[in-house]
Amino acid sequence: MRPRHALALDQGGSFLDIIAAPEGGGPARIAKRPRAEATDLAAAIIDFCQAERLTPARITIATTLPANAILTGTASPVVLITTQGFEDLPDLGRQSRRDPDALDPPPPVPAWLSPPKLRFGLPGRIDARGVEVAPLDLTALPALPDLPVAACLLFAHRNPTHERAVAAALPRGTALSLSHRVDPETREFERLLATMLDASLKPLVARTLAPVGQALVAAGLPEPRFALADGRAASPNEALAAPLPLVLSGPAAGARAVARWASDVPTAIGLDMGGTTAEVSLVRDGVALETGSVTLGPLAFRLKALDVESLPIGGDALTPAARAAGWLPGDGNGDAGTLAIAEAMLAESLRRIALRRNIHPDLSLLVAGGGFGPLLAAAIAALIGCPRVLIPPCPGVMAASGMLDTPPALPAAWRCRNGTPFTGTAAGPLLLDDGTATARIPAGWRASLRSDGALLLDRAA
Amino acid sequence: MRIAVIGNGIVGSCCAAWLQRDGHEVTFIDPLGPAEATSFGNAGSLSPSACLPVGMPGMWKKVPRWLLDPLGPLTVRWWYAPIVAPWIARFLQASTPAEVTRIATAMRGLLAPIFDCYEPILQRANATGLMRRSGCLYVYSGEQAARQWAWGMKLRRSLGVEMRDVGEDELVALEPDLKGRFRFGILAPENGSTLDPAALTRAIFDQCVADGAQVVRARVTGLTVKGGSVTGLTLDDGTSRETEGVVLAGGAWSAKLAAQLGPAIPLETQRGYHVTVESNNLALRHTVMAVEHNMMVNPMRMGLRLAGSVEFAGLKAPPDMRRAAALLERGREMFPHLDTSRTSEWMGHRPCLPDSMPVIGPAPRVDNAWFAFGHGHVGMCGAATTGREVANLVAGRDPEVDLAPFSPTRFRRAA
Ligand SMILES: Cc1cc2nc3c(=O)[nH]c(=O)nc-3n(C[C@H](O)[C@H](O)[C@H](O)COP(=O)(O)OP(=O)(O)OC[C@H]3O[C@@H](n4cnc5c(N)ncnc54)[C@H](O)[C@@H]3O)c2cc1C
Repeated sequence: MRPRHALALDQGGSFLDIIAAPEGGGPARIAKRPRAEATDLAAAIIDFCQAERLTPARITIATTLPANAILTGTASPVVLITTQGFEDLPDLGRQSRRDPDALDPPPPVPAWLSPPKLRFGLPGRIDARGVEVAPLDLTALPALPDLPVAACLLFAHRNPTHERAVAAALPRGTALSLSHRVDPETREFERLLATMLDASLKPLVARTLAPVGQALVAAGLPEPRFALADGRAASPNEALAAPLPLVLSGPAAGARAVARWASDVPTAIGLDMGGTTAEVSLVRDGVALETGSVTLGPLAFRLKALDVESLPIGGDALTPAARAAGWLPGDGNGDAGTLAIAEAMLAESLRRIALRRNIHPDLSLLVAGGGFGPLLAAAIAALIGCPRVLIPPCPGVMAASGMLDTPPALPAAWRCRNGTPFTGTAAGPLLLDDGTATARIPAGWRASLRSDGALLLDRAA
Repeated sequence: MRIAVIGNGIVGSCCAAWLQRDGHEVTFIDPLGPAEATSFGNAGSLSPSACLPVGMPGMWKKVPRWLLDPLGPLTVRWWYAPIVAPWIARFLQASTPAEVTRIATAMRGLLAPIFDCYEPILQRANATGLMRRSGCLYVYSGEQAARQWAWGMKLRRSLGVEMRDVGEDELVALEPDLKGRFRFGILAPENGSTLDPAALTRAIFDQCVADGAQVVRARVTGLTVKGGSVTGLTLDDGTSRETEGVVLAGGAWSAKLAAQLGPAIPLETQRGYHVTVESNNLALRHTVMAVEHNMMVNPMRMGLRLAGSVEFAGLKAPPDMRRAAALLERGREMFPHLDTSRTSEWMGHRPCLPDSMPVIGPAPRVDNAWFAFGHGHVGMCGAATTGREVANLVAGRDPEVDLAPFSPTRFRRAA
């Protein structure tokens, strides 16, 4: 019998990354497909399995679709059912501006998410101890349009009876998110926003991700699991019931991979830089740091997640400059100065993010992956003071590897520019390619290949 | 919540002010008035840059001198040496380069938002004038001498502290009074100070009272714990009071009450002194840190305050005012033209942990008490941020500063 494989797929901004790791060990296979050629995720998975002649035992998927839908405002508008008098909460928010100088500050809840005519207030009241003060009056609820519904009643996290009554009164099959389930925590606005975002993703998940599951099962493959922001994974049904944690699924997978490579150091900073964004994560004692609130573009909302900050800077925009500088093969007419600016910007951001969580770069390992991270990592490390950089084997698919329960055995295939395989150690300046990424070892740094295929870059003393 | 704040120094006052912003009903409990303990006479520096611990790499080499030179910048009184020895051993353990880097990173997180955290409460108290942001000058006899402290300066800079080297000419232009003695300086332009630490503390305290805080003038001698919560306080006047929550901000005197609510915390007093030269005739505009003298010089509204020195002698021994006289002596060396005809002296108890970090966090054994003490050399700097974070903890909001390094249980393993 052919060995069964664990399959991990990371659908990023530019590429679909695939890793197939045989269960019980053995070398893993990897593939990278341009995102445009892999819009049909199920077909891409089925094709890959057929081409590679392998039988997956488990399939885990990370996808940017939900995050993009929120960022671009293409997720669904949401009907809000709230306690009478609280209909304006989406506009009021916390009355705090992230940028005090902004002339036109973004609303606390984006306009597309909560049009005022879709907000309905119901009479009825629960107090802060969870005691009913006034009974719920469902007769005030009109017929609702065919849109997802978020029910967020005052103090529902203390006593959910009223929210349950609302749920029972809605037509069967309504896409519904209840605040006491999505985010049963104190603070009305935070609970409301999380519940509305959760509801707004339900049609998208039903339309795009659930069918992936059905198509795979129909093709005789196992039901997939979707990676979540906190590093766990969920079945299609679980994802459909609570889709909000699907945002940041890829970045969280990346953070898990970073944590694995940093298991034997006190602190590490992760840089996972792909085509469109650079994700920064933090690891202490081998564990990826968590956070209780997530920032996505102009939105900040409550969600338990691995603490990953996404920076809007990616390799696609830098490739021409990297070619012109001779860092990447091929011709380019970019300005090499762009690279120095990108390195400086990333260094400043990494330092800020690390210090915010009390991690000092001087004492930390920098783990760099993604298609572009290994190219800039050593220069960034030099700027912020990290004494060592670790580049995992096949860094271009690092995030995907984080979704596998056991670390895959990835082939290390580093080659110097003249084509000779890289083994042992060598001093920079040096460029090493492995087919998924290029590692740049600047002057003053030394590269050595570890037995597990990881490349270690050390600052010369 | 009806919450008792034990201690009305700068830390307790800032905690109360931030708690009131959330609508809590505060009762101060303290046998002394506001700023009658350590918050009275400190050097008043409000520095986002003051993130380095007291124990720096290589410090162990100096330990013998601490015992031998009774008037040196750091001394251990001989009879106190056996009592404080275990504490000093831990203190030295925390002075390796890696530990110092870790500690400085955490402290920078606490101190960077100093002004953000003081401003709202000082505005409310109509007392923003007591705080100024005029920069701090670290001064040295020469550039060569400054190299000895270069590692710490580099660490500060790596944490985002702005520090600018200042040559002799510029130094004299910035502060003509320093002419002749000092040939090199480092300017921290973002640092600030207060014109009067006692007035600053009192302004915040008085505003809390104006906003409804109650005041009980008594010492807390014990806590009543029932079902995992503190339900009452026993006072030294024989009475007791009910409470729904407790913030312990008793400065150097906090250890005994803290031990009732969690594992022992190695809190030690580092006694410090000041001389305030009331007949000040200098025109200093910055606070000046004379690094080689280990002394802070702050032009205040009462006069020129010279503050510093670390003395290990416990909470009970009377002050040794020869140490204040030694500060004055060094002040005369720095400024030979200083008029010292009128002076006053003072000693205060810096509440210190071996790792130079405060204890900020929930009390381990109960669900309604929070610790906020042990700010050591930087209690004025750290008080407002501590207040904001304590209010965040009490409200169940996520802290805005990573508080893990300040955990009340961090000494458990070694204890
Ligand atoms: C010489 C010197 C210079 C300094 N310079 C600076 C500086 O420039 N910048 C800076 O940031 N910091 C400085 N400090 C440190 C700073 O003064 C202290 O960290 C700060 O004042 C501590 O404040 P606190 O509120 O914790 O303690 P305190 O001001 O000592 O207040 C504690 C209060 O708690 C009360 N209390 C204790 N136990 C009980 C109990 N059981 N029941 C009721 N009440 C109780 C006490 O009576 C007291 O009023 C300096 C300190 C010294 C000595």
